[in-house]
Amino acid sequence: MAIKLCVSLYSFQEDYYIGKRDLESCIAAVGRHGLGAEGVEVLFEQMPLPSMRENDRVISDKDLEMWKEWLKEHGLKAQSYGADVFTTMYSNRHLTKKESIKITMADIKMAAQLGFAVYRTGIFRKEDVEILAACLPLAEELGIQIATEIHTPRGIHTWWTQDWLEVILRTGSKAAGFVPDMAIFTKGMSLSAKKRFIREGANPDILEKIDEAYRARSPLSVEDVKKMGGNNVDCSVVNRLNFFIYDDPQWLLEVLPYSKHIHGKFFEMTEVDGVDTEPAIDYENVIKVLVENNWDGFISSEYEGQRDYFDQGCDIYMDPVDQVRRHHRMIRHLEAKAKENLKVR
Amino acid sequence: MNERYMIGEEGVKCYKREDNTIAYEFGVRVPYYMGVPLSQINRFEVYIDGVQVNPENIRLIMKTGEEFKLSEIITVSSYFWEYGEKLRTVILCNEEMPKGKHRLEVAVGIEVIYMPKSSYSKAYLDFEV
Repeated sequence: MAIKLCVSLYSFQEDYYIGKRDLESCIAAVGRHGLGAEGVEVLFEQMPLPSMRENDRVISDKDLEMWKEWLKEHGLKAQSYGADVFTTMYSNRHLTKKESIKITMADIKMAAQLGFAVYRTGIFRKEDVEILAACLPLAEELGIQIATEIHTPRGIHTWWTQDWLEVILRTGSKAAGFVPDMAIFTKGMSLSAKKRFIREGANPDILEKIDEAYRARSPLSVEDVKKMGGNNVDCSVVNRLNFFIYDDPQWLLEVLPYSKHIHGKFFEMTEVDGVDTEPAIDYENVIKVLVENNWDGFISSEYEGQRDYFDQGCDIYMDPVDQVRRHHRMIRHLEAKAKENLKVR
Repeated sequence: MNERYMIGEEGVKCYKREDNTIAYEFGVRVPYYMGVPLSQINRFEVYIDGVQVNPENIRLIMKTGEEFKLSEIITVSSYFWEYGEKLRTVILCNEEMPKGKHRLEVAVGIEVIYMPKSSYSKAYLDFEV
């Protein structure tokens, strides 16, 4: 059994945003002529096919044909369709439950038509659980899984996950599942965030102390940082880092039976002793859990650290293809290491 | 969010419209990670040299050529401001700005369920008339 590799096109958001790549070019970068991933994840609200906007969530035959051609040409499986529960289409009111169900169902139909295995969405409010549960019969009929993302700061042992787990267990629906996001296993400050905080005026020594304390699972408070002589930026870093959580990787076992897709969130790759590493996230222990439990789903690389360079005046550009390549290498390395350890045992 | 890229790198273009009003046009990229319908915008402010431009004098022009006033966008749910699109933004004036250096600032808020109502992004661009 092996973990399968996927790439979320979210990783290439900067190139798309500034017009360096279009949707097809992003897909090409992921497929057999590029990174060689097996699966692709697309957030069409970020990178839409033309007819999605022209026809109000009805995809044209022309776009459908083009999409299938792209997948064939680049040897990719449509793995995850990124979406959210539609709530804030208008700035002055939330959509009603009925409106949200209608639009989510139209979206699920489109995702299934495009051949996606997973409809990745999220739960923010209690009513989102009801909205998604109401869509389950349709998802079953279409053979697609509605998977809610387990995303920091809402970890495995919070109602955001537990209420959906209750729906999964109560309905026994195979169409309901999860997408655990790796940032729920954040063990420390990312390299990209650290550099951003320094550009904003943080004191590098104090940043190190904040990071060390977080890594030791005894995070500093704003008061602690003030006592060290920290400035306003240093104090804000405490709150920004505490947005992240560290769930015990063993807790994954509670949701793994319902997860066929994992968001391989990462911020910035580096090398430690010549080995590709993401120092902010505990990939090693998570992959160990996946290997020990013969999990053979997809890890979808989701590069997010570029956003730390989106501040006014910054001119640093990180090559997202290179970042994802290094992330894939890290996953394969940790997978091989975990398999080796199993043999030794 | 996205301040680095929010204001289009082409800068500010000045021209006369058919009705002889003077237009200052620039592009604005959405400060979010997805495209949004115009109805999802909860703040759109433009400042020149620190002074807010009267919202009634601002127009947003879609890729298809349709033009909207800020007071109208609350109902515009089928026209999207796509991720990466430099939304054509126009300030209408009766007279030209004084020659010399100016600073354009744009503040935009998008209504998102998990973001505080008051959150927005503000970017600037220095330009010369």
